[in-house]
Amino acid sequence: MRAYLALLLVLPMTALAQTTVTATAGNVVIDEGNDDDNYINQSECKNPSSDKLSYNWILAKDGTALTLATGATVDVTLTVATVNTCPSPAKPYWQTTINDLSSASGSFPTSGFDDSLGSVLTTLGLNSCSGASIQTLYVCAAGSVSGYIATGTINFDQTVPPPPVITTMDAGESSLTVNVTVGVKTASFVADTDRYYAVATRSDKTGVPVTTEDFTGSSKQITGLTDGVVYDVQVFAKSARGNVSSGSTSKSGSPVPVNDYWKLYRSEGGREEGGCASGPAGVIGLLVPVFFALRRRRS
Amino acid sequence: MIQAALLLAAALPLASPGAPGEVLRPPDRPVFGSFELRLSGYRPNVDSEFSAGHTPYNDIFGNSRPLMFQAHIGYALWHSFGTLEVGAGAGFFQVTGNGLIVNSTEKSSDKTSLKIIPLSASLTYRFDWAADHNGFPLVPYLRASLERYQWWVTNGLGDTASDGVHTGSGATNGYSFTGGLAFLLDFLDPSMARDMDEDTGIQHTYLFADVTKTYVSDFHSKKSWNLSNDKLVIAGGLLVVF
Repeated sequence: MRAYLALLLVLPMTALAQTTVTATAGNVVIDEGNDDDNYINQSECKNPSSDKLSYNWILAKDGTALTLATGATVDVTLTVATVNTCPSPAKPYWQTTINDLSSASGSFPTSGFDDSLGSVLTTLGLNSCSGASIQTLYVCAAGSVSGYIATGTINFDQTVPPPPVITTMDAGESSLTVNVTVGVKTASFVADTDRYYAVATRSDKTGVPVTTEDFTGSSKQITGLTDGVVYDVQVFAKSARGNVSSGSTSKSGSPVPVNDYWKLYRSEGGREEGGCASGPAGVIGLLVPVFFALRRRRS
Repeated sequence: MIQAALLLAAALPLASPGAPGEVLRPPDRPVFGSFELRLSGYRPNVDSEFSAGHTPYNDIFGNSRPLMFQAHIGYALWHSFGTLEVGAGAGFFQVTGNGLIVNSTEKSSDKTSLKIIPLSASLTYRFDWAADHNGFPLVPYLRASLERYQWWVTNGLGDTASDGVHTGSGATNGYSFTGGLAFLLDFLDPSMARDMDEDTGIQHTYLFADVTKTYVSDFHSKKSWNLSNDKLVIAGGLLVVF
């Protein structure tokens, strides 16, 4: 019993002894010029000049942000690497130094720097824009004032989903409805998908898409087609990061004229011609008794 | 059968499961009105206008009887030996099938729907005197209604259908008669019913079942289709009186 009491007394002291102050750095916020989803996808990788990374940082040491007196100066070295070694970079890394941030006025420590995504990817050897895994890129901003740093990450995702499979394609009036299933994952095709787009091309005019339509789920009605014309339809899958699969096997079909219920009713000699037989007044007429009843009750 | 029903009716007040000494009491304030939610099967008798061999409704929608949902609100004009109410109702019905490929009986992938918003103005008499004064839980009622069905047909694109000349939307008027029986749920727990009355103003709550005969063809016009239900409609739902 006494042993338990002693243990209870010792436990809080043990907890105090284990408490340590964790050194915390400042953070780097990375904005992408295109979609700002913190992922560099295949399209952005292949067209890096169209995208920019913008870094904004707060330098800190042990959780305390760096503050400078007006007129003081500090240099910042910005590094992007595939391993997290801030503030001492491990190769390969892309690096630049921004000198003398004293002009940042008294609102320091926040500042920013833009650079072309292409030079980052080339330096890190990622410009082949392929890969079956998601690579984290570590960003480090290290100030010339000792110990003050900021860190952040951005993801490099080149994984692509497997090409979908068109199971059936149904003909409708001026439309084709394509039904798809997710393709089989392999070593090359690893990304999940539930987004697709379908491309319809006239069979007699190959290479010129008539329509391209995005969709989710397992089927899509492609509209605006011409009855009797043969179309080739191909479906592509998109990953959550926007990477596109290779195309499904193409399927051909022709829209057909269809009788919806109204057309069928009319074509078989139905006497109804539509329209409001007694006009909008009909609805009002139904409400008249209610109106008079309410008036009578109030009076 | 009738004898059994009479015996059951006589025994019901005695069989109240409420606490001893509890009885249903007449409301201590006037009845303002009622609100009800109802579900019924519906199948418009559109094919009745065609000669044998032509059944466009059946060809596309089959012989199913989808549910029609309706809400009805009533305003009490008179409450003495029963309640007389004037009211209005609205609801929704939809049936969907596949269009047929032209010059064929083969179904296409195009969906086509008939959608109806049934509107009504009605006069209802509910014999609830015995429920109010004797705690008898069965309340018969009668209702006569003017009906107006706003309808439209959609094609495979989800747009309002058209045959190139006439657009598939409109309204058809008519009338209906209803007779039904409501079971007073307050009977099962009078104290809870009283609490609900004090807390929410709901004086009585009923479950009901009724039968309705509809005549919705623009008063038997030869130029309108027949949206009357093809049979007597059996409906059920919940009614609250406040």
